[in-house]
Amino acid sequence: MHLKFGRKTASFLALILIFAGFFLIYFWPEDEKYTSMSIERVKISPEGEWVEINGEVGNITKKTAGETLSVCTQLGNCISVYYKGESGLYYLRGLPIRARGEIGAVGPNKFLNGHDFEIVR
Amino acid sequence: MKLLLILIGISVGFLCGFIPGIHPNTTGTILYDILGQGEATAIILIAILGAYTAIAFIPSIFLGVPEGETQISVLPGQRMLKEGRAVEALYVICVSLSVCAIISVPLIFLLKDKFALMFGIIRPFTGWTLIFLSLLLIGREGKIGKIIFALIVFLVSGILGVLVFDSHLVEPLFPMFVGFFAIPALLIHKDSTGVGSKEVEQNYSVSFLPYVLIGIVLGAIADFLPGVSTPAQLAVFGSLLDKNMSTRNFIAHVAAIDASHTIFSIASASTIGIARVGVVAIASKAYEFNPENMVLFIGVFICALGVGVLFLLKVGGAVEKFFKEVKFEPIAKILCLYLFLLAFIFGGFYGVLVMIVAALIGFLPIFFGVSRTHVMGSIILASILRAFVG
Repeated sequence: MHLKFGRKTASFLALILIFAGFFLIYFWPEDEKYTSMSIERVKISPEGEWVEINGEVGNITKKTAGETLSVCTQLGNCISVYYKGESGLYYLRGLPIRARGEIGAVGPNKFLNGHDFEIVR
Repeated sequence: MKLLLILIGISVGFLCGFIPGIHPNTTGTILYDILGQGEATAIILIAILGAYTAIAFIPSIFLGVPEGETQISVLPGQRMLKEGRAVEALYVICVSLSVCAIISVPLIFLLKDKFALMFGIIRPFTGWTLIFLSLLLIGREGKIGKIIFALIVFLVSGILGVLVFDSHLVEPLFPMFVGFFAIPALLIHKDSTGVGSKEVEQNYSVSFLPYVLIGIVLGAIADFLPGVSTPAQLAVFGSLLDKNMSTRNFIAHVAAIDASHTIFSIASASTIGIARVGVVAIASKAYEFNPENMVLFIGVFICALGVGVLFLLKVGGAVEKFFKEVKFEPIAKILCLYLFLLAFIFGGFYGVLVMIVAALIGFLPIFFGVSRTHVMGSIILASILRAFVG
């Protein structure tokens, strides 16, 4: 490789880093609707917030309309995720998934109104 | 406001980098206790890490004292210092860190949705991969006698590592690596005064760039291997790819692994909640990292890294000149005492004992005539055991 570098090139690269850093800090567009949260944090977050959680598929209960599934951490902390349609996760207990939805509440208990699911492996 | 926080972080990062033995993990824990939770704390901590990642190479090269993730760069760094090529080493490090960050950041945006998948795929093979690579590393010595000596160094270091990681030590790597590398280096150090300093060239070859690219990949992998506690392990394995890797290529390789490991660690903390770098773990405790604010923290890191690199370029020549002019022997003695004092402060008599035992092991490769990288068995063996036993 015949390319060469000197102090000027090295300084120039460092300046690129500084400017790129500033761009990311101040000018990067925020287009994500969903805030990524831990299951524990969802339980103390306000209703109506759109969140994304990671966990494993636990029990799935069929409802008259739709189904409710538990999404749990490895420590066994779970949250119910209600899904209007068929999640398609019925036979996939224990599988790691990412669930997106809106935080809802029944009394003091928080749950998630599921929008969509994604199997993460 | 953010700018002020970044400047505070950079200043603290410079102090951590310049003062041997003061690791950002320690400083981060103290700051977290003082400042408490919040975005501001997380920004300061990530800025500390960014500046420190660059500055930590100064004590590694000029004093032979391993700082943070630079342990494995001590030996080639010292070699280049003795050849009067310390400034070249610093230039190579600066370019490697910058190129690595410039490539790693877009990679993160491409791969961030695949982190959970990558973690799931790599995790089951960690133990066997480490065993295979360790055997290759030891076998590289070639002759049967040397292989046996290398195996002895690897296993003895490994046993020490297992004991140390299982102990109460807050900073287990500090006394161990200072013992392995710094104490032997300081005790057998010959003054650099009189060693001619090579003329600072206007242009150096970029032949090390392929090693930077490999470093980026290995640094990213380090974040997904559960048992791998430091990317220095991967730097050693990376050297297997090229048996005759030159000192400057190796240094470039280590710098890239270091930067890539940290950048990917911020990304993995934000996407799958796994932070493999101590300071990132503390920062994510102070403020929840998520895919939305990942961009902010990566921005803070590369901005602080850029300032650190500029500073390194600015002071590198002056630092080399200083070490050429002063008698190093008295400094080496004071430094030895200071390092033992730090070991005592951080770990009491046990910390000092670990440092002494590690120093004795650190001399073994010199007596046996085998590579000193075999002392990395100290963390590799512990990782292998963790992969199989948990």
